[in-house]
Amino acid sequence: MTEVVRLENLRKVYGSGETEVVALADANLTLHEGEVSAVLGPSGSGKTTMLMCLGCITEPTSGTMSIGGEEVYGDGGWKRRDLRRLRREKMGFIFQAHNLIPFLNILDNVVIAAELVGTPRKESAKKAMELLEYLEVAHRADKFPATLSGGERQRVAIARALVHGPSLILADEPTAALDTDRGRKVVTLLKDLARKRGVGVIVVTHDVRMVEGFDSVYHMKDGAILDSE
Amino acid sequence: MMDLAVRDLGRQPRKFALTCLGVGMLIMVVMSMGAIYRGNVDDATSVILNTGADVWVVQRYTNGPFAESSRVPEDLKHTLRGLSGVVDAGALSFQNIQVDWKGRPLRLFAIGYDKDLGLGGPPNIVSGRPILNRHYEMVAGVKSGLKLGDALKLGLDDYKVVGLVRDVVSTSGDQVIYLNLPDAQKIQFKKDNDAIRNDRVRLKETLAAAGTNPDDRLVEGLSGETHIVNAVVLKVRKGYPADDVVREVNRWKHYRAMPAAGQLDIMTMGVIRKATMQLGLFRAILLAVSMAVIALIIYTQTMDKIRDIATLKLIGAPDRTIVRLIMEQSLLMGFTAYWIGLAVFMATYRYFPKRMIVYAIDLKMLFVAVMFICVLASLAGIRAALKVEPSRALGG
Repeated sequence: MTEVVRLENLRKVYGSGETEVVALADANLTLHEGEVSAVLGPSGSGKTTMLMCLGCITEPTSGTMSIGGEEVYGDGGWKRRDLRRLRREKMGFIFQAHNLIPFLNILDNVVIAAELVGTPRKESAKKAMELLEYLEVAHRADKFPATLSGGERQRVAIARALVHGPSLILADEPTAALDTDRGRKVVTLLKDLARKRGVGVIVVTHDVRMVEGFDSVYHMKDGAILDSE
Repeated sequence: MMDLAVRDLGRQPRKFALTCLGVGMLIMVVMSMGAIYRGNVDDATSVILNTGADVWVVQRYTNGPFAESSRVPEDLKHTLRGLSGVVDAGALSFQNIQVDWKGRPLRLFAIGYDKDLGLGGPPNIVSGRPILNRHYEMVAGVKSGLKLGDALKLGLDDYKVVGLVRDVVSTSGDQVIYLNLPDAQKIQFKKDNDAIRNDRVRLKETLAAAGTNPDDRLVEGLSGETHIVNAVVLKVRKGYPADDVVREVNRWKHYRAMPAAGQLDIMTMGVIRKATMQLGLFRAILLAVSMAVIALIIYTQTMDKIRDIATLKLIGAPDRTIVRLIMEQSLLMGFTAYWIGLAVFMATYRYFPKRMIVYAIDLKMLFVAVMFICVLASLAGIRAALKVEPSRALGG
């Protein structure tokens, strides 16, 4: 299977001297196409820092990071400058609070991610509708996010994360705003989509109930990955 | 790429409409001030332009009757008519008058001209006729409130309105009346009987103190002098350089001559300059206020959606998409406000008590200025949006 992400001894340190905080301590992680991994840990364990490093939002301090076989961080610096383009083309994001754009209707919220990578409007809309149908929210396509339930919004967010065909999906507490039942449904959906579409998915969560059936689970504490299963 | 700006504005159409209405009213006032300024310039220059003169001859060391007091003898026109290149010369008198008319004060600007020559007389008579009789007739501005046949007491006599003229007003916007020169001189210089008697006694005593023994006819002649005008205007033969006539008068005749353009410059650069500067300052202040309002609204709207902008950045939206979102909203606001302001202005400017003149070039330049200030107004919002970290989209 093709490798989607590889972290080797990735480290992130905030501050220096007495105020130094090691937010991520020599993390090692590998993810392949179609795999779903969870990063588990309590608040302050370094989950979000790892997510921000993976999303090329925060620059690590040392180590190496490869995405889709391309080393994007190594030798103490970024290997490419257009990190936003990398995010746009190769990554999809799912947020704890879904983060749909409130002034766009549901269809446009999904279409925008496809349009950002240069897909024409018509084709983007077709892909978006297919995903919305698959996720059973197509009937809400012309509605605005405020009128949808939490579960529906999260399914729309999943559609947005997938519509442009990324190789990696980063999900930040995607079930935190949902009840247990809806949370499970969202997680099941992510697992199914990852396998069917060959996408690597990393889910950051503190809810151990949600990680059943994941390909790997990384436990974090104080910035370090303690073990993986 | 979909238009994010329009979609965002479409979510709060009422807020957008009210903001545009407010800014539109400010822009309407800016337009009005521009039109008032144009009206002022036109008012100030209308008398000069309507005389049709090429050269103005006024009292030496003065700037002419519109800027300061200028007195020249009426018979100067005969001397000047003999100059090379001059085809016509007319004497003109100017005087501000305030009379009671139908129980209300009526301000007028009286122009005395030689009815037989016509030079400096009423240019566009819209009803009635020009002055034909030597005395007691006048042509009045159509907006003065006077009608054909009305009789108005000026000085010691009544004058009948025989014609109405359009588009000629004084520098202060007062309506003009045209009178035959002797009538105008009489109104300006002729005193009542008591004043005449006093003057004669005073003159006689002055002459007696100087060792003379003047007879009454000499005193009467000296004290009753009314053959004075404020300027003499010249018409120059076509093709003959007016500057040559100006040089000739200045060098040999001991009066100040200037081409019509010089008299116009004195009006626009001197007499109405302060009013022009005040209007210009108000316009600049209003544009600055408009910019501040738009900037505040755009900045507030940007901060309201800062997390959405962070989300857009996180999913990879380039900076140009973010900049376009904010700048386009600012431009749309300015664009809509401009057309609202223009619509209100066009519907109301005719009812404004002061004369307003609208030039297309002024409106076009204001449009460009509004668009420019919209770009400037969006900069604070753009700066805030570009500074926001994509990580702000993460978390609950």
